[in-house]
Amino acid sequence: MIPLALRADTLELAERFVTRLRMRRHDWKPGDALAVRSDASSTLFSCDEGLFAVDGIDPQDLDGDVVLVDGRRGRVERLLRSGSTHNTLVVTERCDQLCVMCSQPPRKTHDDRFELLERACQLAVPNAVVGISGGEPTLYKAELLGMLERAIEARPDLSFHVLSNGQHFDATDVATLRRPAFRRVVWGIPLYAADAALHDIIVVKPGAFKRLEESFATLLLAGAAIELRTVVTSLNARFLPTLARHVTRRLPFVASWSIMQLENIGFAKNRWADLYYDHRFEFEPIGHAIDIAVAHGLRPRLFNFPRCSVPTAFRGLAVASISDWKRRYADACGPCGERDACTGFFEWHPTGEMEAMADPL
Amino acid sequence: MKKTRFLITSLLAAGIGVGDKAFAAPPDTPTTGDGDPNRQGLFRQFRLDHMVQLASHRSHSSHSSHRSSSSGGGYSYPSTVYTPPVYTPAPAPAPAPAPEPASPPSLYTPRRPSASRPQDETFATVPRSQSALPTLSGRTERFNSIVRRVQLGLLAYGYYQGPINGTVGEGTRAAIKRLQDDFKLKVTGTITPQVLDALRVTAE
Repeated sequence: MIPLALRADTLELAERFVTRLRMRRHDWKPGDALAVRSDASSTLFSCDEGLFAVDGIDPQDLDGDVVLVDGRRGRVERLLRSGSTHNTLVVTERCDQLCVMCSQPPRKTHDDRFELLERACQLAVPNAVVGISGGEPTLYKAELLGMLERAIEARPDLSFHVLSNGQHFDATDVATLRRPAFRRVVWGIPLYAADAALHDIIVVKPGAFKRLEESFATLLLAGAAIELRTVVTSLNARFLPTLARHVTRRLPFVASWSIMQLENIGFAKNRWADLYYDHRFEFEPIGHAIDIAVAHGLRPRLFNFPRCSVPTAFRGLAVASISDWKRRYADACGPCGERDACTGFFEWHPTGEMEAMADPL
Repeated sequence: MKKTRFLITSLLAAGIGVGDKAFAAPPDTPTTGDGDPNRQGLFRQFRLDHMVQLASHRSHSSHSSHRSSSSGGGYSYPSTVYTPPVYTPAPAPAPAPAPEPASPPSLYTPRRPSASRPQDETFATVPRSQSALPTLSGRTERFNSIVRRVQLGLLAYGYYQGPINGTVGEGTRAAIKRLQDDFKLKVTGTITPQVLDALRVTAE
């Protein structure tokens, strides 16, 4: 597992700041932090905010990383790891839904870091795709849209993928979302069932489905790019074909559809036995839903499905979706010929289940 | 001699000999070009200052054996004028670090000019606020040697008269600001890469 937060120490108890770490003088640009000394346990950096030390990692792994240094909490957060395609900025931990399988249960408090995150975007590598997540980012819609627009205007090579529950867009946002910067934003929005009551049960918010439809209408009018996301649980698996018909008939404007397997963390961890739908034993509803979508020109992708666990006909849709920093493979995966194309397992997936599932191809 | 070379380069880089600002008490001999025979004398004078400054230090004879090892990163330091034995705390064990000692371990007692800035001496003992990750063995020690080098550099350039104690207080900060201003650097009052460059503290 790749560490995203590291223990750090600052000489000055400065406010939080964002900087880019550089190991070599000739890579250094004003505003960057330069490594000035390194020993086995820690690396000392110098930047405009003064000196700080980062512990417990090979400094070469940090070269080019955009980090948030928080002297008061004694930590460094790797916001944008250089060389990774799985960088996600968390804009808030608050959320107005409480999905039964939430992998990152929300918190009540909000820590406003928009300014710092915008600074991080300016330091991103060329052509980076930056993920935005939460919590629910659109709870701070004005700040979020402002940050996205400014970041893209300053760096037109960047693009963003924003995960949102789609509970907060309304007609007043159409004009904003039509502006050129937002062509570089994809909205990843969850829809769990075609049946309003079932969707509401899963997200634990009455009226969520109806509110979501209003947001879809807004995004449609704005010409926004939408990626639908459906997490498969034992609650909705059997109804996936119905959802596929709903998506193809009612939401033909969506750009892509991701069908996702459950992540054993957060709320899902304690409800695993109740929620986990083992697609190895009954792939039929998933396969059927895929067939319907494909017949209508929408090719779904399977997220978090190890390739060996998917029937051959659908295997090509199972992509390496699990972020690099939380991905692992079973021992049995060693000789597998499709390992590089495979998503693997979540770091926190039960090891026994993982070893039982892995079936090298 | 290597040490000499570094100091002299630094002095020339700082424009000593051209401006009058660089020295609190400028030597009465001019320090001009490469062939200047006075450079060695100038070096001695600074060095002497340091020895006075650090008079209560023990074991001067062992200095040459103290070189910070660098692992893999390839960062080494030019040996500067004076390399006091660096207090290197053992890395704190991650799960249960020892509580911070009541008073930070110090190898020498900093000189206390009568009416000087108390922050310079006490900054290091300010306790970490609330829920920080386990505190490593003393905030000071991690930064001590590099801050001392910066203070020595500032002293050499005439920007600083305070103690060479390895902690950044108001005096050090103000001196850095003056240096940054004179060198047309971004004025931050902190130890930036440009300040280290100006003082030749880092390796090129």
